[in-house]
Amino acid sequence: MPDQSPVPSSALPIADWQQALDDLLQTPLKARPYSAQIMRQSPTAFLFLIDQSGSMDERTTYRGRVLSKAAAVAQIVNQTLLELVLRCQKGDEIRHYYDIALIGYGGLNDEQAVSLWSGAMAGKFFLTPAELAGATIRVDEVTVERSIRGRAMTVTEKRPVWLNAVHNYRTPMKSAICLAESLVREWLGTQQGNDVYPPTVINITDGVATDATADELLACCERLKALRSMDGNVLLMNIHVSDERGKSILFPARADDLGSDQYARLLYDMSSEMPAPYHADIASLFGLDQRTSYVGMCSNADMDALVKFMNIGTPTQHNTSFTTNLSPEP
Amino acid sequence: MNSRWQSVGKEAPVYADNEDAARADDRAGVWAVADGAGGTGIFVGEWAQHLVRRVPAHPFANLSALSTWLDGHWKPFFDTYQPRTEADPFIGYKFMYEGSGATLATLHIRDNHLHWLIYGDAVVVCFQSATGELQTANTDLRQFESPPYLLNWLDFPKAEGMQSGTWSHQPGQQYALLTDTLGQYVLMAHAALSGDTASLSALALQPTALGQRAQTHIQHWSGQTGQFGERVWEPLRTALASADAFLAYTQRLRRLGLLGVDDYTCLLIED
Repeated sequence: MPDQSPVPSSALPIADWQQALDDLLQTPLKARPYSAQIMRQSPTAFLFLIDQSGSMDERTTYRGRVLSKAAAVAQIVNQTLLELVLRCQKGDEIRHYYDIALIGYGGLNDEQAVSLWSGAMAGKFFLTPAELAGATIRVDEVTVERSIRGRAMTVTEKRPVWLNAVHNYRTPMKSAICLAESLVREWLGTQQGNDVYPPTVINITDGVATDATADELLACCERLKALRSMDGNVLLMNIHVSDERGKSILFPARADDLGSDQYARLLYDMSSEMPAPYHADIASLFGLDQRTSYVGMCSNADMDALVKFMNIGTPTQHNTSFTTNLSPEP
Repeated sequence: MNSRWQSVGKEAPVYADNEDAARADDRAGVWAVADGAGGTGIFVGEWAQHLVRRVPAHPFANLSALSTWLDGHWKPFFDTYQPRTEADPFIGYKFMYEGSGATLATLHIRDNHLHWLIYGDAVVVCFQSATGELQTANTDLRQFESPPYLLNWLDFPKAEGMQSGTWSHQPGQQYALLTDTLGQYVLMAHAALSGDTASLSALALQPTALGQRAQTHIQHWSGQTGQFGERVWEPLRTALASADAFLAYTQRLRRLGLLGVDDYTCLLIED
C-alpha cells in the first residue's frame, strides 16, 4: 500500500499556501455567504469519508434488495460521483468545477484513513472531474428501459464504479476527519484568494470512532469546520447509516430534539449547521417543517435517506431549487 | 424592421464557450434566442442552435403547434449526436437520461402585430422610448427562483412552461429578446426604477445570490425613479454595437453586482 500520509500536491510551496490560508482566514465573510458561483475559475471541493469497518457487513435494504451496508453505500457513492462528473461534462469536455476526494477508514487499514482512488490515481487525494472519469475500477453494464418522448426503448447503460464494498477492521474516524482537515487547509490555501464556494465534507459511518474519545473527535471536527473561504465555512455533514432499527433523526434543529441518544448528540455536535440557502430543499426533500435551523446530520438513517442526504450535500442535481444558484451552469 | 444582437459567454474572455444561440431574420420578420441549459443535459449549445435555426416562418399558435414543431425536429438532432455518445459512458448516460435542454423565445411580426412566445425563463420586452413605458411578456421575478422549464428532445413541452401573446406595433416601439440572466437584470432594474419595489423587496429577503442581486438593485437605483430609458435601456442598446462593447457592458454590470453569472444574449428589434 502506498504511503497515505497527507502530502502537498499543489504547485505552490507549503509556506506560500499556508500564508495564503492565513490571509484568507483574516478576510471577512461575505454579507450573503454560500452564494459563490462554481466555475472553472472558482471551483469547489467535495470530500467523502467512508466508514469501511467490519460492521459495514451488516445487512440492509436498498432498492428492494437485501445487501450489506457497505455494498449499498458503495452504490450510492458511485452514483454521486457519477453525478458530479455529469455536471462537469460539457459536450466532449469535462470541466474542472470540482475537486473530489474519496477517503476510506477501516477497510484497508486498522488505524489510518486512506485515499480510495486506485490505478493511475492511487495515492492522490483530490481528483479533478476529468481525472475521476478516468479513474474507474470498472464499468458495469445493465439493460434498462428508457422513455424517449413517451416511446419505450431498451438501452444498455454503462455504470462506472469507483468504490467497491469493503468491510474490515475497526473505525478510525478521527484519522479521516484529520486527513480531511489537512486536505481542506491546503485546498483553500491554493485558491489564490478567489471567491470560492467552501468545501463540503460528507462522512458516512455506521458506528463510533475507535481511534479517539468523543472529545478528541469533536476537537478535530471543530478545527475542520473553522476553515473557510470568504464565501463561508467548510460544511461537515455526518450520516449514520443503520440496519433500520431505531428512530431516524434527520437534520435536527436543536440538540434537545435528539433526546437521550448520546451517539446522535455526538453526531449533532460534529456537524455543521446548514446554511440558509439549503433550507428549502432540505424541508422539501425530507418532508420537514420550515425552520430557521437544520444541522447537517442524520442518525439511524436508511439508504433512501442517505441518497437524499447526498443530494443535499452535493447540490448539483438539476431538480432542486438550490441548484438554480449553486450549480456550475445556470 | 431592423435588428442587432450580441451574445457572450459567462467566462469570457478567459473561455469562449457560450451555450446561447440567436437568430435574426429581419426580412422574414422572425427573431429568436435560445439558452442551452448547462445544468441539464448535454450538447445544449448545439441544441439551442438547432432550435433557433428551425423556428418556423409563422408564429406558434399554441402548445400543440410548439409540440408538433418539436416532433418534426428532434430526431435529426438525436441522430446526429447519439453516435457521438456511444464511446463514452458518461456522455452516453447524460445524453440518454437528461437529453438536451434549452429555453426559447421567439418573436414574429405579422400585419403590424408582434407575436411573442416564451418557453422557460427567457425574457421578451417591448419598450416605447417616447413614453418610457416597458411592456414585458413575463414580469414575475419569482420565475428566476426555480429551475426553468426547458424544451428537451427527450420529452414533450408542458403547458406550464409556455407563455405567448401579441403586441400591436406602434411607431417608436422597440423589442428585445433576452436570455434569462440579462432579462432578469432588465426586469429588476425596471421594477426598481418604476418604484415597484414590492416584488424586489420580497426577493431580496431570500438568502441566495438572486436575493443579493435584488437587494443591490434596490440600493443601486435608489433616487433615480423614472429614468429606466436613459439608465438601463439606452446603455443596453448602445452595448449591442460590438462584441467588445457588449462584453464590457456585461462585465461592468457584474462588477456592480447587478448581473448574475451566465451566458448573455440580447436581440433588439426596432424600426
